[in-house]
Amino acid sequence: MSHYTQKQAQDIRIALMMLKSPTILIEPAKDPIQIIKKATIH
Amino acid sequence: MRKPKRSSDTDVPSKLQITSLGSAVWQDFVSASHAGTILLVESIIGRKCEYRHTTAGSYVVPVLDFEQFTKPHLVDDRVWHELNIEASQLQMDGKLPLPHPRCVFLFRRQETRFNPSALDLNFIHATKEGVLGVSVSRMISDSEQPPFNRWVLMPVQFALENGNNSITCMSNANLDESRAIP
Repeated sequence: MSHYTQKQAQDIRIALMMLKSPTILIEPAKDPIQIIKKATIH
Repeated sequence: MRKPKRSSDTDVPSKLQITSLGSAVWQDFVSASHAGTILLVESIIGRKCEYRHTTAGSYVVPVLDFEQFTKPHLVDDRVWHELNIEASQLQMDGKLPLPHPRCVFLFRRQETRFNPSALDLNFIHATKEGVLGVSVSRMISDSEQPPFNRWVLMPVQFALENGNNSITCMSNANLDESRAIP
């Protein structure tokens, strides 16, 4: 399980690099506030 | 919110679309948390895991959906290697960039020879020491036997510590799940 987590963490590090890459298309959420509201646990 | 942007002069493909939706997956996870049906691994003996039910705390976070996050699908080995070197250097400098101080990355794993397809919600947050995170995964299968088709909170947290380029995993059998997810 630790091995899985290690790989996961490495993938996250790569994902962070992808986010700052100018070649990646970032698509804004159509209604992010609504989504965040829905995701809120009260 | 970042605006769409695109260029075509480097090797990273532009086909990746990252949204802050992933809403069906997120709703499923939130419902499981409400219902207290998230599984936390308590012990692993051989191939046998013992679980207990838990919730996953209370939070409002942006969710970034990376869709199928796999090497062949997104980037080839060479680009992956280059990004990894860049990431290592930024971590060393304490400059790993998070899009939000706390956020969730959704990865959709394809089935492999050893593992079924899976959904991974990776909760990450920035601290003075670096980036900390924990994952909650749901393996997709026809089986109704746990852990298949259940959200499973991994009892392992990871750290991308500033000042070095290694990845630290903190295994904790007594993980306090109320604190695991920031």
